[in-house]
Amino acid sequence: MTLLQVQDLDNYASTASAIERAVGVRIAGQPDLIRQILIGLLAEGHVLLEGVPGLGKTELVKAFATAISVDFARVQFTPDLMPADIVGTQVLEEDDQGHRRFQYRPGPVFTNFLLADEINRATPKTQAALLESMQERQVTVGGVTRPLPRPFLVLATQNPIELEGTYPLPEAQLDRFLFKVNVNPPTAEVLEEILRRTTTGSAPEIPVVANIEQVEAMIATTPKLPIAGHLLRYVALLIAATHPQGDSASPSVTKYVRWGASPRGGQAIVLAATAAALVDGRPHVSADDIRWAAPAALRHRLVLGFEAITEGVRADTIIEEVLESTPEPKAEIRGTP
Amino acid sequence: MSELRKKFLHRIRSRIRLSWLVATLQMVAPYLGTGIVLLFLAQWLTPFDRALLSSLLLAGMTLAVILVRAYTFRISDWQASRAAERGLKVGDALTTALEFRDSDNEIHDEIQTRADAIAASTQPSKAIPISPQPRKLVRLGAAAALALIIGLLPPLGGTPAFSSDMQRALEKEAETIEELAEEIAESETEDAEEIAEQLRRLANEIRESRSIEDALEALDRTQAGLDSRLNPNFQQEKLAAQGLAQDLALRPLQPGLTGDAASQFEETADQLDNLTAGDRAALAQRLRNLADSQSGGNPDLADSLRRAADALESGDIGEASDALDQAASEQRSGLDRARSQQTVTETKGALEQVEGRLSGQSGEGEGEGEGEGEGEGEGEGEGEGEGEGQGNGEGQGQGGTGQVGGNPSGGGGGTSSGNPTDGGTGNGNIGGSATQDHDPSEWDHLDFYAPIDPGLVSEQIRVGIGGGSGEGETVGIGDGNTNVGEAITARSRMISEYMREAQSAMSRLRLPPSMRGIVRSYFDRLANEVR
Repeated sequence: MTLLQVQDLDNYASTASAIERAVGVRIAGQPDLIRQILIGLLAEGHVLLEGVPGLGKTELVKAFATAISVDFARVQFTPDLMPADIVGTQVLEEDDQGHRRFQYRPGPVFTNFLLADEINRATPKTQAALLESMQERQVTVGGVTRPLPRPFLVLATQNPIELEGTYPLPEAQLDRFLFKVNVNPPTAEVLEEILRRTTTGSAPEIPVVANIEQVEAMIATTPKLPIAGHLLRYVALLIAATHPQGDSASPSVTKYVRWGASPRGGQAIVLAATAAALVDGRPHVSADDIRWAAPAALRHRLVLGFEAITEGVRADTIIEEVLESTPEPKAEIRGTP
Repeated sequence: MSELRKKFLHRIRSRIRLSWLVATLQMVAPYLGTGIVLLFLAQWLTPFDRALLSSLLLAGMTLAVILVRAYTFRISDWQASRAAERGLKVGDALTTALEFRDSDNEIHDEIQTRADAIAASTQPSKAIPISPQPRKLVRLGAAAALALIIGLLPPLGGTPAFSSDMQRALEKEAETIEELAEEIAESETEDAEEIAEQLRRLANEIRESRSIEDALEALDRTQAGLDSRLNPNFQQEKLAAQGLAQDLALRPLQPGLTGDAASQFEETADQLDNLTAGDRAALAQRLRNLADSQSGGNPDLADSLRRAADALESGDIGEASDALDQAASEQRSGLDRARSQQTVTETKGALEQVEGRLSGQSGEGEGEGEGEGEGEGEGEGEGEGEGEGQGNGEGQGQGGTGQVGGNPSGGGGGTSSGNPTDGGTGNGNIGGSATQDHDPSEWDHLDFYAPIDPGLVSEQIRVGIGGGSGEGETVGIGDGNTNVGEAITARSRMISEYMREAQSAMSRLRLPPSMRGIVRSYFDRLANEVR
C-alpha cells in the first residue's frame, strides 16, 4: 500500500475545486448541491435527489460525467420497469455455427454515473434490484457475478409531489443512500442565469478537468484521512440523539421521531466528513465537516411518526434541533470557546 | 509534541485560567449582588447591623476562593488544544495533532506541521478571548446601588437600626448604673435599698431596650421617680445640718467636746448638772442662737433646742437634758435625710450623665446651646476682708457646657449649659454668697480656699467650653473690688461640693478602680482635716 503524499492533498483539493467549477459552468446557483454530489462520489456513496421536475437534475449528472470524463446512463423509472431492464438479462443467441447459447446483455447499471429518474415510480422489486447493485457494486445474473465499473455513483431522483401510483422507498433501502439532497427551486437571480445559459443557444461547454484515475485516487484516499476520537464520539452522540428512546433525545425527537438513524447513518456522516476534508485539502476531519454532512446524511434515515406528518414537521427541522442540542466536544472549561 | 507547541499550550493554559477567572467572576457577580442586597435588607429589617462588613467579607471570600481555584485546577493538553482551536477556528487541527503522531506517516507529519504553524503564528489572547459580559456586571452594579439605597434608608417602620455598637453602649451604661446601685446599696442612707433596686430595674430595662429612645424613656421614668423622692427644702435642710455641724466643730457646746453635733448635745445633756449658772445661761443663749439657725432647715431640731434653752433658763435640768437628747436625735435624723437626699441628687446627676451619653449616641450632636449666667454676691469679711462683687457669665456654644465664675470679694458664679440634643437651650444659675463671720482667733487654724482667681476690675475671664462639637466661648466679667486675699472661702464650706463634683467626675470618666481609690482617699483625708 502506498502512503499518502502530502502534495497529493493539494492536488486533490485543486481537482475537486476544478470539478465543482466545471459543473458550475452548466449548473447555476447550486454550489451546495454540486459539493454534496462530489462528496457522495468520493465517499463511494449514492445520492437521492428530491425535487420537483425541471430543476436540472439530469443536466447536473451529465455535467459531472462530462467534467470527469466518465460514462453516464439515465433510466426513467416506471411501474412496468423490470429488474432486468436495470441489471441486464441473458438472451438466447445463435452463433455462426448455429449453436445457441445464453448471452448476457448488460443493463444500464453498468456505467459510472447512473441517473435513476423518479425511482419511486418503479415497483419495489425493480427498486430492490437497483439498490442491491448500489450496495454490492456488482450484479449477479444467471449465477454469474459481474462487478460494476468504478467509480459507480447512482443519483436517484424522486418527486415530492404527484405521489399517486408511486412506491415509496422502504427505509431499509433509503438507508443505502449516503445523502438525500433537497433540490430547491432557484431564486430569481439564479433563474435568470439559467435562462440566459439555456435559451440563447450559447450554452457553455463543460471542460474536462479530471479523469477516472484521478477520481479513483481521491476515492481511495478519502478513508485514509484521520479523524480524531472526539469527533467519532461526536458523531455517535448525534446518532444517539436521533433515537427517541435515548437519554439524549430532545423533546422533538421524542415526540416526532419513530425510529432514529441507523449506524449506517453514522458511517455516512464520517465518510462524507472525511471526503469534505479531502475536498478542502485538509489532512484531517473537523467538527465543521460533520455538522455540514449531518443533515444530508440523516434526513432520509429518520422515520417520522404521524405527529410529525400531521403537524408538518420536517426531518430537517429535527436534525437542526439535534445539532443544536448536541454541541461538538469542548474543553468544558468556563470562559473558553 | 514539539517544544513550540508545548510552550504554546502552556501560554494557552495561563490564558484559560484568566478567562475562567473572569467568566466565573461574571457568573458569580449577580449572585454576589443578590447576597449583598439580602444582607442590607436584613440590616434594614432586623437588628442585624453588619451588612457592610459581611458584604465585604462575602466578596473577599468569594474572590479568594475563585482565585485559588483558577490557579489550581488541572487543564489537560487536550482541553488546552481544544479551547485554542475553537477560539482560532482552525477546525480540529490541534486536537487531531495530539492523537496522530506517527512519524512514519506523512499525513501525520503534515498534521503536526500544521499544528505547529498555528502555534507559531497565534497569540493566546486571540485563541482565548476574554469576553466581558456587561449585562452581568450591570446587574452587580445595580445590586450594589440597591444595597446602598437600602443602607441609606431609615429603618423600616421607624424602628431604628439597632447597631451592636449601640447595644454595647447600652450594656456599658447598664453596668454603670448597676455599679451605682451597688454603691448606693452599700451606703447606710435612708431609702438606699429602694433606690438601688430602682436603679437595678433601670439597668435591666436599658439592657433590654431595643432602641436608644426606649432606654431614654426608661431613664426618664426613673428620674421622675427620683424627683418624687426629692424634698423641696432639701438644700435648706442640708445647709442647716452642715452648718450646725461646722459651727459646733468650730465652737463646741462645751470646752473639750470634739464629737459631732448630736454627740455634743448628748454629752452636754449629761453634763448639765455640773454647769454653773453662768455656764447654763451662756449655754441657753448658744442653744437659742443655734435654734434660730435651724428654724428654716430643721424646725423640729430648732424646737428641741429652744425647749432646752427655756428649760435651762428655768432651771429645769431634766427637761433641758431630755430636750438636748431630743435635739441630738433630730440632728441625726436631719443628717440622715440630708444624706438620703444627697444620694438621690447624686443619682439623678449620674443618670443625667447617662442620658447625655445615650443622647449623644442617638443624635447627631447638632444642637446649639446658649446660656447666660449672672452671679452677684455681696459679703463682708470681718477683720480683713470687705468687698462686693458681681460676676456675669454668658455662654454660647454648640453642645457644650460652659462655666464662668466671678468671685470678687463676696462670691458669684454663673453657669451656662447647652444640651447637645435639645436644639439649644440654656440656663443660668446665679450664685452668690456672703462671707461668713469668723473669729479672728481661728484664722490660724483654718485652711482657706479661693475657688477662682478673683481677677481685676472689668477683667474678662475667658473659659473654653469643652465637650461640644462647635465653637464657643464663655466670657465672664468680674466687677468689683477684688483685692487678692480679701475674699476667701473656708475649705470646710466647699469640701462637700468638691466631693460631689469628684464623685460625679468619677462616674463620668470611668476611671479604673485604683484611680478611684486615690481620689476617694484624697477627699477622705481632706474631709478629716477639715473636720
